[in-house]
Amino acid sequence: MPTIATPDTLQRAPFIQRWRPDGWSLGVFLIACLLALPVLVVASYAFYGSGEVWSHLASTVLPNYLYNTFWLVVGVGVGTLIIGVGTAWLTVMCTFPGQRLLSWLLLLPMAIPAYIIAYTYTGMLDYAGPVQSALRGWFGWSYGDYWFPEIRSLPGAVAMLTLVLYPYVYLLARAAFLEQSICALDVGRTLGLKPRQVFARIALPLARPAIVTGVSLVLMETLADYGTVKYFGINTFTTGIFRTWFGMGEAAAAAQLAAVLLGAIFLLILLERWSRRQSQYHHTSSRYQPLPGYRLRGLRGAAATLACALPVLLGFVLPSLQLLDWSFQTAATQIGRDFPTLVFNSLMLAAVTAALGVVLALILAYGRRLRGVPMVRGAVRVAGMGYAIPGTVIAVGVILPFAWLDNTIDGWAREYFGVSTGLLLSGTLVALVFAYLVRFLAVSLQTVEAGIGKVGLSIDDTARSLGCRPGEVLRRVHIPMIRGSLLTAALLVFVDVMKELPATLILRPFNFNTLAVRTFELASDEQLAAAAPSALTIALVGLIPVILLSRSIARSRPGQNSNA
Amino acid sequence: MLELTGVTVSYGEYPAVIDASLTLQAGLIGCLLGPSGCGKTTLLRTIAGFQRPTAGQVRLAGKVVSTADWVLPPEQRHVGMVFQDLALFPHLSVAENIAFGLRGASRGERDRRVGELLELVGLHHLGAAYPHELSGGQQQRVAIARAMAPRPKLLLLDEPFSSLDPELREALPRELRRIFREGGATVLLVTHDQNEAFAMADEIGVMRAGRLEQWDNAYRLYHEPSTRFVADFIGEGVMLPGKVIDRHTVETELGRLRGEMERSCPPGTLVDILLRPDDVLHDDASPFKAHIVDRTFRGAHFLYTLALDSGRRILCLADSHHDHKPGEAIGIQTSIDHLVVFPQDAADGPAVS
Repeated sequence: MPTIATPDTLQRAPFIQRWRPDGWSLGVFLIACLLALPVLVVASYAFYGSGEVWSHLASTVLPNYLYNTFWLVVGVGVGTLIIGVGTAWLTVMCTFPGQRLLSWLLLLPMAIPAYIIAYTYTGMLDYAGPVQSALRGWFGWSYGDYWFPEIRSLPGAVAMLTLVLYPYVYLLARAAFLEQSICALDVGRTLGLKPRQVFARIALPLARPAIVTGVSLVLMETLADYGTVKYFGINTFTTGIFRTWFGMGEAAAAAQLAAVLLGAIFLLILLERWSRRQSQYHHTSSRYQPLPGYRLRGLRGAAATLACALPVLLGFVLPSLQLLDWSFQTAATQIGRDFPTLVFNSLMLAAVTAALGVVLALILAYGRRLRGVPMVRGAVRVAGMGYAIPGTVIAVGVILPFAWLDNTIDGWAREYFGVSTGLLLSGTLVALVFAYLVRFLAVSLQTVEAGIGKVGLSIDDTARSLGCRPGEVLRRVHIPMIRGSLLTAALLVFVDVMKELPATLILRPFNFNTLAVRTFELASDEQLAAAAPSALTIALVGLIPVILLSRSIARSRPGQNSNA
Repeated sequence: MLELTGVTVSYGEYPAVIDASLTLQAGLIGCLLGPSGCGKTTLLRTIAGFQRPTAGQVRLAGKVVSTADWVLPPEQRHVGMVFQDLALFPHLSVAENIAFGLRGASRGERDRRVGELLELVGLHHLGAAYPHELSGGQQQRVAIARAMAPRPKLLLLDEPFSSLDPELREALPRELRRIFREGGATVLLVTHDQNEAFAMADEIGVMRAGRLEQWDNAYRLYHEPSTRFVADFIGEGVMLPGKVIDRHTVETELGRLRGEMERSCPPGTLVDILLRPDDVLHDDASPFKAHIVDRTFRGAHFLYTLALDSGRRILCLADSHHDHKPGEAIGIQTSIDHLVVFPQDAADGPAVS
């Protein structure tokens, strides 16, 4: 007797088994190919024979890059792990003064890009800065009398990146702790474990997949960082790519460096996937009870409050106050000049990218829903990979094919029409927006897919049976139903574009400046105070999604709020 | 209106529907009945155009709409479908939901049709409400009104009552039958509950393991099942072994049973004969005695489970004023018009227990 399809197999069975080219799957496939192009271009350099420049690089600077990148990754990884998991545990499982407030304040450092906090601390801690001046004032020291840590160093960079990136680990660890059934933890108590042992032997292993995901996100951001390490004068892969390309004019060698960095990123992705596969064992009971809320009183309570407040103070409050102070000093001179243009440029780029990002994400997400064949699914996955790729790498991957295209068109036009078309795409906003899309599409795609995934498949089928073509279903049913997700997606892309630095530095048209570029340039020229108004504007915009996140965190525990 | 010939649907290597053929006349209500996983929903989705058959064809109002090579997209078929979860559009009001499929109509025409349908399903006061404000039964009626609004040639309903409260499941089938009759709809529904099927449908198809075993009206399904599975699945009953004597007579433990035999078997064939509880009468004067093993009170009747001398169990439906206790022996008599027999060596399904 033949095996009969059960409802389970029905659900997974695609509408049409064989892939027949049609508008939707072709469209999705083309978009995905286009977005994957930069990564593929860079990856292809990994297989090129190494040239002279490459062997020169390998024998001179490469060990240094590897050394710095390695310690940066290790330092930031360990730092964010300790801060993120520790604060998540304290705010989820314990009650102490200020716990509810701190549980969302801990997200605030996400709003500030690492390069901004880096130069703010430099200003605060350097010889003429408020900290050293105060110390000299109190103790009557003078120059050379005392030792003071140099912030512009590898440990300094680790500290800066840790301070702004730990919220990723915090968020995911927190979510994982919240999902854990209290029963599993209570069983631990009845078996004689102390709270601290319950944490180490039950809660932590259960949350491990989420924590690994958080740390791997942090490490991707660390590998992608350009502004901080550049400003601190630490040679890593991202600064190396920059220097090799623009300092030495060696595009191929830069691309090969980028390919090496890409390899490291892929390792991280694999690690993250692997740990998520493990997560299926970690599903505990779906019944939720209020968490125990170990009461921490007196000194222990104060210590918990301090432990959670410190990251917020250092990662957000102090730098913001410093930026505010500088802004008051320099606003008059800075804002008067081309500041409105900067704001307009930043907002315009962010808005255009956000709009395009949401449209593309909608097409990809719906196309995947409509035609669930492996080919389309694979294409969508590839399109969402850019978020893991550093902006520098993407910039390199965008310039190379665009330059080739420009040269080809130019050569063709000269041959047939005797006119030079020059550079059509390279160095234009088109190239820049394209790079942004490659990098940030994953953000909008994830949000839109989550939204569209909540719409039952029978809704689509109903609309189809009522006479709607697939495109109409998207327009009349899905878009109105998931409007909230679309707005969130647009907002997240918007903010990411506002903060983005390396790709903008490389790809922006000549004399075109954004807030991020101006901040970085002024800071690099040691005009720290002058950079403050632009930096503060970026941080303020960056606050918007953080506030959104914190609102959703407030109602994130299933079963705790009855209106869930 | 609807005509399936030899429809087979496979998911990869798994056949979900095998060689299904049926015809449903305009204005009638048909029903596919079977246990879960038997392929009835797949067949429904194939008729709606969401699924491509691997063989056979689907004809709708005389036109071929699905073959293995070509499928008319669902949006061009004028087939309404109501899903198990109803799939009301949450962002639209009741009236807007119903008007969803009425494109191309003028505003006045649309409003008139929406009003008509709201009236038909008895929700005229709820046009402005949103789906989440309605009860389960009201949502159900909105989903049906929405599917009926564009006057589809055929209306398909997938487990229409599964999401409803038990009380509604009693009342709604009759209500829907009225709505479909008044609306002049041709309907095919899918259910695993035979009470719903009997309450709603003119024609019922019993499906098992991807095969449509019988497509008939309720009376014939009950009294003249064409396979052992149908005999078992529809109603209650047991199989009693016997030997064919001639075209009208079978010799059994309960004597010679006489009646019309649908299937002609040569004399001497060993057969199983279907014995419904209402085929077995309580008769104290009868020479055949059986012991009561168990009984179930059903209001007007008792359903007795009886053990014959051979130990074989049979069912007997008796008036409830014949109150006998388990362990007692009672006299029984058979009364059968149609002899439903299945040759014992035929491998057309498991024997009924």
